Amino acid sequence: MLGSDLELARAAARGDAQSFHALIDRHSAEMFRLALSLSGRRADAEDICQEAFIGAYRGLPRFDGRSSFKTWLTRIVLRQSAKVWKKSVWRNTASLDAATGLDGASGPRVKEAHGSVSKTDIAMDLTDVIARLGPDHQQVIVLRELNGLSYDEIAEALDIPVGTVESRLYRARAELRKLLKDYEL
Amino acid sequence: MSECSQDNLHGDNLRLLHRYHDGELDGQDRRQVEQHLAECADCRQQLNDLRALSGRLVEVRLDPITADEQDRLHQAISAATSGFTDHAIIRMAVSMAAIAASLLIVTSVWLVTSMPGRSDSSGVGGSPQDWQQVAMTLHSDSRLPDWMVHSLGGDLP
Repeated sequence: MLGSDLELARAAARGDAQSFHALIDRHSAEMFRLALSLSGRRADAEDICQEAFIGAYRGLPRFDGRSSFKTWLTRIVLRQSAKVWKKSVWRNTASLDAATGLDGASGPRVKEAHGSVSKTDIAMDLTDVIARLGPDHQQVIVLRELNGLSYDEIAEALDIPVGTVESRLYRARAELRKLLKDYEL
Repeated sequence: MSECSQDNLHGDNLRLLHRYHDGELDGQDRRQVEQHLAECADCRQQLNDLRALSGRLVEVRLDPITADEQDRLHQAISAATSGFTDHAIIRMAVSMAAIAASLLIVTSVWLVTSMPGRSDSSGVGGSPQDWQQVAMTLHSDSRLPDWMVHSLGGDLP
């Protein structure tokens, strides 16, 4: 019988690899969803999850159980995603140029006057647009809108006051609306 | 909520609207906002915009992690954790070797400093004559290097 997250984490910290694999089974789906919603790309989401879980394994001796294992892991995924975001800034900028006509290869699709865009296309484009938000705004939008976390849960995951969550969310929504307008989505 | 129009719709009122939209208000605050919404077209419009935006984000499709992706995750963790174990063993082996080397050096120094014939010898390990006898015996064994024989017995004929 598997124990609580805390029990598994403590066993894993003592070197029981199976306990850590049990934690992966328990949390990988949710963490992958979070990483995917932040990165917008499955390959990036996979890398983020791998790095995050390895980082968590290394950091287990420092996990004191004050926050839940899931919150602690969420923080690691967010940090890892922010690193990937920084690396992808150049890539995103390049595809933004593509979207604005400098290069027709990739980037968010701009709705064409004569054509229709399928629901799947729009969904993909929205993911791309979210990935274009700054990391602070991206995180609150993803945590609130795509993962349904409450303000308190977001505050704990990001280690910021609830008031900061509120103001970031407000500004993030304004930025997102502007981006969607720019892309005519 | 304070009076608002399109021009001054900002600050506290907007935050309250966001909190209301996100289900973060309860009790009196919630009723107060609902009362205000019934009277204020600008705030109703803002709320509708918020709902429209959230409705758009529902369209974001996030396919769940596949079995292959999960397998690769487990493999990556296994590789990393076994790496940590190997690393720990190597570190332990290096530490043991360092301790053994330190003991060897300390023992060697102790042996050399306590040898007969040294001016600072404390006599540990026998009299100078005893050591000379040992050195003479060893000298007859051609397999031993000269430096070792000299270090034991000093000047031998």
